[in-house]
Amino acid sequence: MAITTQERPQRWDQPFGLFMTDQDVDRLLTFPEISAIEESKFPAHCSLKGILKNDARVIKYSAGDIVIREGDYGNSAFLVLDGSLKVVLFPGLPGEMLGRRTIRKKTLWQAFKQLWTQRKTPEVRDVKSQGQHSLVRATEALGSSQVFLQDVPAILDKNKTASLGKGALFGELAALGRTPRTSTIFAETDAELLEIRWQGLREFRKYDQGWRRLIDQRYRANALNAHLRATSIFSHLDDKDLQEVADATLFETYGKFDWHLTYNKLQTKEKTLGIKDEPIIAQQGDYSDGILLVRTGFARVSIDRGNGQQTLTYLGTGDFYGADEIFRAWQGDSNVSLRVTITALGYAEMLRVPSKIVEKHLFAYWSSGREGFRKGALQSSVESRRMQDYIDRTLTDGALLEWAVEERFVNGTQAMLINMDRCVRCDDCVRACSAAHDGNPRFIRHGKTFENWMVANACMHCADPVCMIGCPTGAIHRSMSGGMVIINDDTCIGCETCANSCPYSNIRMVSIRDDVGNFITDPQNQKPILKATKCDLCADQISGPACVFACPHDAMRRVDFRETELDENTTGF
Amino acid sequence: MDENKFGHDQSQYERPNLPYRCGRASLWQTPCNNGPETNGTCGGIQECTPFLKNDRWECRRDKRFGGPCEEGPGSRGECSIQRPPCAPRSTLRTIRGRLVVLAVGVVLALIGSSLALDPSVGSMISISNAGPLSKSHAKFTEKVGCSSCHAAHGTGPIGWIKAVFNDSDLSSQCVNCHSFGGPSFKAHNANMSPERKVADTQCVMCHLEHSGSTVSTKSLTPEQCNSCHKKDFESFEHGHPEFSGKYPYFNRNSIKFDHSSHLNKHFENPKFSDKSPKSCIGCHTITLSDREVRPNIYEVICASCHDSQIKKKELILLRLPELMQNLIDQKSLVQACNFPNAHAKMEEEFLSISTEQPALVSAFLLNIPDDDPEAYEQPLQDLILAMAEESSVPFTELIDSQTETSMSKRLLAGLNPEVLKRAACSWGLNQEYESPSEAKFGGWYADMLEVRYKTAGHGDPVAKSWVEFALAVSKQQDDEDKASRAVAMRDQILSVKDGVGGCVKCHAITEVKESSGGTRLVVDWGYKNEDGRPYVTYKHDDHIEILGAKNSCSTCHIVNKEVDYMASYKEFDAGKWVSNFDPIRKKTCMQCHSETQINLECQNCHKYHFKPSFKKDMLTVKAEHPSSTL
Amino acid sequence: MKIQQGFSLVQVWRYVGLASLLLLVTWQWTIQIDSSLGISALASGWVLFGVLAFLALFSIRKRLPFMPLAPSAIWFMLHTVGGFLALFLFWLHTDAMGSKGFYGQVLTILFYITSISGVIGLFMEKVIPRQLTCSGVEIIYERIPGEIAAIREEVESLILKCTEEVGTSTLAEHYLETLNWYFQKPRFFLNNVFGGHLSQHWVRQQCMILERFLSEKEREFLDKVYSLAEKKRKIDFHYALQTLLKTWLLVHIPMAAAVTAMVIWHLILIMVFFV
Repeated sequence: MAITTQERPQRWDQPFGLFMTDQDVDRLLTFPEISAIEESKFPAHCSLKGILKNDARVIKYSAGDIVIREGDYGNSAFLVLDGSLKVVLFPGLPGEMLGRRTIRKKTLWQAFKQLWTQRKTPEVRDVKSQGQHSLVRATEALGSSQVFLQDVPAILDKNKTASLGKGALFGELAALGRTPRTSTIFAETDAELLEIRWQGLREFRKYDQGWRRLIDQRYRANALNAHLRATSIFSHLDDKDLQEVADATLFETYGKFDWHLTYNKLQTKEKTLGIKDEPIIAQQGDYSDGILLVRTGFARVSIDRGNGQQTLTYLGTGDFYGADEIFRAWQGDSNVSLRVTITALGYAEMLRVPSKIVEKHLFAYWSSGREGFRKGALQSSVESRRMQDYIDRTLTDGALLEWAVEERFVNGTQAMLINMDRCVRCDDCVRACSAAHDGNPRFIRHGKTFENWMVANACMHCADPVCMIGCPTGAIHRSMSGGMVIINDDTCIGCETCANSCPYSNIRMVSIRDDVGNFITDPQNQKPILKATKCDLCADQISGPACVFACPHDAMRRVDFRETELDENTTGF
Repeated sequence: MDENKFGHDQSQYERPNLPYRCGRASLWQTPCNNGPETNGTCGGIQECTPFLKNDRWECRRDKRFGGPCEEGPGSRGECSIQRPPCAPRSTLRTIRGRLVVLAVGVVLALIGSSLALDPSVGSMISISNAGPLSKSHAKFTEKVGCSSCHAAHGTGPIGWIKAVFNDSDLSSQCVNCHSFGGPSFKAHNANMSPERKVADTQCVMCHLEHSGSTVSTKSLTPEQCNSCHKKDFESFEHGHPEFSGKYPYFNRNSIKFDHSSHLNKHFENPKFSDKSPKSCIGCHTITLSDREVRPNIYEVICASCHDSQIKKKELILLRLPELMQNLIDQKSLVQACNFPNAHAKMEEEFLSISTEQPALVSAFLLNIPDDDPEAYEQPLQDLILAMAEESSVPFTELIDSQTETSMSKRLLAGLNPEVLKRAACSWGLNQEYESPSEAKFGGWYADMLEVRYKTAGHGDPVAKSWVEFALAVSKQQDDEDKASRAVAMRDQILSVKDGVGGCVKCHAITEVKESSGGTRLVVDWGYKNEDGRPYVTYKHDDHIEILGAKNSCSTCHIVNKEVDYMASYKEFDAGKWVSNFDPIRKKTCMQCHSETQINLECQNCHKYHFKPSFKKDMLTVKAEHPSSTL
Repeated sequence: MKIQQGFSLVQVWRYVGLASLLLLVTWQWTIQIDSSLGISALASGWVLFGVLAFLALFSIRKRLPFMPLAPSAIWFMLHTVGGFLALFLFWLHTDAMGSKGFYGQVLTILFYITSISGVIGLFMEKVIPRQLTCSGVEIIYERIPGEIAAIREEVESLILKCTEEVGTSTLAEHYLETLNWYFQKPRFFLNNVFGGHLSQHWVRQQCMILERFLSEKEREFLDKVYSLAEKKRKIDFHYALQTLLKTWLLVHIPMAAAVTAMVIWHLILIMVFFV
């Protein structure tokens, strides 16, 4: 066997823009927003020019092209170089216009019709009905396709919009914060945009004062207050106090934004050692200096046990930790240190609300009135007790969760968990799935197993849907109703970005066929046309997930690991 | 499994919904990437379809299957990895589907063949056959088949559909052959209580068929009886009511046989020791005995003692009584009797030769007092003259005038007219008649002053007729005098001592109701069958067989010495009769019929049907086809 | 949130109780009909027919996974309980032996085959999964041929490599004589079904026999072959037990279909000829 060697992959091996030239970079440096950056602050291995050349690209949009879609997950921000864009304000454009699949539940009759209408041949697509294909057009600059809006004046007529002109920066919050785009932005006129991927953006924020201020301010202005407001312990604060808390809140970022790309390449052995490599957010035994809130991503909660770390639970977006410890310290309890270690799972953005602010706005309130005290004490004790429960749990009890954390299954909100002690391997679930998807299964009944638990190869509808990052047409999106991750088959161009991004390999590319059963190929290169497919949680079926319903032995569940404690039944039935 | 295969570019969807699996895999070889086509052909003959691009053939193998192969396409654009096609196999599931079709197909084929085949050929393997019939039904339905009972059989699909929506009245088919003594579909074939509305019964309520030749279709469970009989009980031992007070001696015996006096007095008497029976079976015939154990005939069991008594008892039809004067016209008498010297004594003073009274029979017939010569002189002497002239004719006329139907022929059977004439001639001359011979073997004869009938023996028809005549006339007289004379005659004829033949010494007389409303006395000449209880059965035969012939009778039948058995026969009301046996009680039966011993089911003693039989045409059918015997 | 899988004892007893109640009511009904001179077989027959129809509906339910019918698990539970109920009702209906006609006998035999195969299937479905899990590997039935072929290829390339590298053919010859047979397809089926260790024993025996004839280098190859044989053994085990799990339905379902067809014909005959 020939030995294949490979150079150690370097940053910028794969530049963002394929056609960026030095001339382009020079031209970019003439724009005021770029020229304001102090080039000297950047280190040599990561120069401004290098970033512009490799982490950014210039794209031209025609009038009507959608730049970003509401609800999309993106990893880049945009700077308007030329032209004019429109932001569609609330309530936004309908899903179909954005190239989304509208989920319409089938009627009873339509559901029943599937009995005989489902196809006998796999992956048949109706090639005649082009339907929404017309929404997709090739954009040369990307080497791929884009979805565009067809009747811009009508949209402007019907929707409230705001204009974005030259020099406007947008999309940076979603890119850095891994949150969905909050609105749709399309080109009103032909426009030229600089798209900067998150790595570049991160360097800009890191090395340039101006950009950091800009980005942080924008975050504080747009998202932080809402985040704090939505957090239960701060819900009592008025706007002024909340602003004070927000102003004092620190931003922290841990781990790698694109952990999912490297995660799959790790060997199993390395994964189990993973906890040692995970960036520590808070260390067990340390003095607590504030409440930790998870802005995005996941954080592992663990304690030292024996020679290793035992995972207790994990924190996701919106969770917080630490109020109990500082509260007790504030009450005068000495020797109050953190009971657990918190580490970032892959990537986590944290908000740290310093103790002083907490004491001023929270504890003062808790000890002021009767109601506040009751609430505070309750909050504190519940949190404390819950954590104590986790700590008291035996290794065996916690093993499944630990495994799920290790394998990052905690990301899933609808992980397909099969109890192999109950499963008779009848494949009823697979057949049910295929019956509900025109004769095509959308998952494979294999997957990683732990003891008798198997997490099958089915889309988990992740809390952090990394698959959606980089979908060029927005075909993969989160459903507005229900929150499941859906692929619009009509706008999917088969680029495999999502399939490659999914750390769990739950998206599969299929070669599609026509009615007769022949593979449909691209006339230009005879390559089969591929489509990304995955579990859509039977979004359009009235029965709910067919797989779970079809299991005669109640062996399967769609679970969110954090909310789940599995209780095996002893009757066997 | 290798974890690497979970990768999205390492494995494809498994499609258990497709009907074929790779033929190579079924031979445990490496399956190809594509797998079989949906039409069952091999889809893995080549790895890819190369594509001509810029005059070069490019491999199109998907990276899931390893990406472009090392060899690359051949010069003419053929894939370098070619395999002979495999023969894809069906999946287990498809095979299962075929088995389902096969199984259902076999069932349908069997059903179809059972419909198409001639029943006589295919009945044994016919899938529609509900099961073998009981022995008797099987035989006579042999030729006609199912339609003997199932009307819908052979009526075609439309007939079937109709039959589904109509009640198939199986029971009405039963009575094509079976008949009963009462309505077929009433409980017990009788209108037991017309005032209560009781649903009609159906044969299939109890009789179910198709259980094979060994299973009886007739058995009945106590539960089934209880469904109507409100007084329900578990078994004979538990809950069956006590027998009625007379059980089982309900009807008066037609023969006044006093078991008590015979057994205790007469049979014990040494005079008759050679004639008396040694046990019950000396008189009663036990072979083939059913509910009744009948006594043997008179000649066998009674005659040895009683025969001589019968012959002694004679009937006096006419007696020349004491007369005051001769009122007979001598001329006519002489002419009638053809006397040569008849008038010799005419002038003498009349002195009656007889000092007797007239016979009660003739007194009744002539309606004359028997103690006043002046009153009976004239009619009696007229009768004698008429006798002399016409022999028995005047009697015939007299007798026939008494009853609606002529009885004279039977009453006067064997009466010699010549003898009668001669006797009358003698009496007309006031002389005794001298009989040339005595009637040794019985029959009519005249002697001295009387016309008599001597009984020939048991069962003498003339004697029986006189008894019946006496009973008949004693009931229908309007005239008071005549009525008293009829009673006097009757009393004489029925008298055990004097009555002709002494019949009623043993034969009971019963008063029966007539349809017209009146009553009538009837002599129980024959042995009366017990026919009042058609729903009860008892087999003496079986019991005797088990208990032994000798003394078994007294196990149940115990003579009651206290009872005045004969007294009740003095009256004609049969209902007031008392048996001279003790009634049998339930406990008697329970000596054997108790939980632990012998069958206690209702059917043991009770019968459901009333006079079950077969219809005439059914019997004719049997006669016409003697081959199919029952 | 606690997720409970399967049915709790209370739930199971509830279903069993309902079934028993139905049985009891039917039983009382037939007794009552019997005592009023009716045909009780009609009553028990109709109830039995209803239950059988419900059992057959399970098959229809499986074809309609997209309809908002109750979860299959509940159907399975009811199918199981209903199956036993049908058996008891059958006894009530026919006094266990069925009618004496050819038809009745065939129907009785088919009914019993269906019932018994169902009970056996139920038993296997409750016992085998755990054994499969314990084997430590998990494989989809359809992939077993490919997996075995892959193992065989790997073993064969190992043998070739050994011959090339070491230059002796001891291992190769022994392989061709003995182990080659083992790697062709799943072996020791029955032994695996009954949980025996014959397979493991056999392979170890073959390796032990050979071991003393091998050099150090060759032994390394043998070890690898042995570990692959172990892997195949587990797959064989899966093959055997999963085959059982799938094939009992090859008896149960066709027989059930035949019973259904016969029951319908039986019903027609009764309606036409008897009622």
